[in-house]
Amino acid sequence: MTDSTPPFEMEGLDHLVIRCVDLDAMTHFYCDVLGCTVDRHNKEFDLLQLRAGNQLIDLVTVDGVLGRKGGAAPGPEGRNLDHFAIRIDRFDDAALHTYIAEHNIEIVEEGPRYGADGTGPSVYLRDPEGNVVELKGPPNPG
Amino acid sequence: MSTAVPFTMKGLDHVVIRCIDLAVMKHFYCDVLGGTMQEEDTEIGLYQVRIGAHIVDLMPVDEPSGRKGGPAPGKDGYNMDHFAIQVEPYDDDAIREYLTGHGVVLGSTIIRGGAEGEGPGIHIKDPEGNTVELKGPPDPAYN
Repeated sequence: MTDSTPPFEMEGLDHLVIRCVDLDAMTHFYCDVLGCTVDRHNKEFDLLQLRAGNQLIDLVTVDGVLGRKGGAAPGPEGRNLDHFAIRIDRFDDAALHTYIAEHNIEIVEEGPRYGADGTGPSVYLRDPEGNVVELKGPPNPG
Repeated sequence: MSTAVPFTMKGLDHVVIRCIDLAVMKHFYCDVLGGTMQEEDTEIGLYQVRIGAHIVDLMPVDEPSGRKGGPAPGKDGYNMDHFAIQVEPYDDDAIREYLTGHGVVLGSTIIRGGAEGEGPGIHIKDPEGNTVELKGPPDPAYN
């Protein structure tokens, strides 16, 4: 009989690692458009770690040391990650739409969505390689 | 000239994993790792597992939302290399013993850079081959 209680507690997410093809285009999107900053660039593993608030979004290129282990580049189907969400503050719907349009980014869908801290407004964008990124605003009061 | 970003990022909120066998995945994320099934939306096919401050959503590929993404993920060509969950306390021996007891495939433990600094992390496989890193707190010796 195995011990049924884990010897740890989960605190939350720490980072996620996206496999990509065009690192420049992806870095432009996550840093220049969404506002991430480069936390560190681990050249040994071809791993670029971008800070997204309290967590990290890491990028590995599919032809790099880590990326090669996952074989072919991701295609439109057969993905393991449907989407991921970044919690943002200052969710100003009008300003957000203007800003997103300025960068010629498609809004995949939008509306109130349930997130880790409750239901609030969301917009879903596609990054340059088709990954869907949800920008999730603060929970609605009440 | 482009305007400034009209928001600030607080951090990650959730990740949504496309899966094949919901029961097996629920068992892993809830019973083995200690997550809590928070909400099961059978209409759209989304199952929300609370992992501390954040959520891992399971999305079966044969339910309405999952079907939109086509076939199930395979051994290559997937878009997420891995994701990491912060765990405390981090006792590598105890974690290995516990997970081995549950038949989990374990990788190496190395000092890895996470959102809060360098600290121990073990890579494990969920039942459908996704790599999940269990990341311990930053170790002062490496920071």
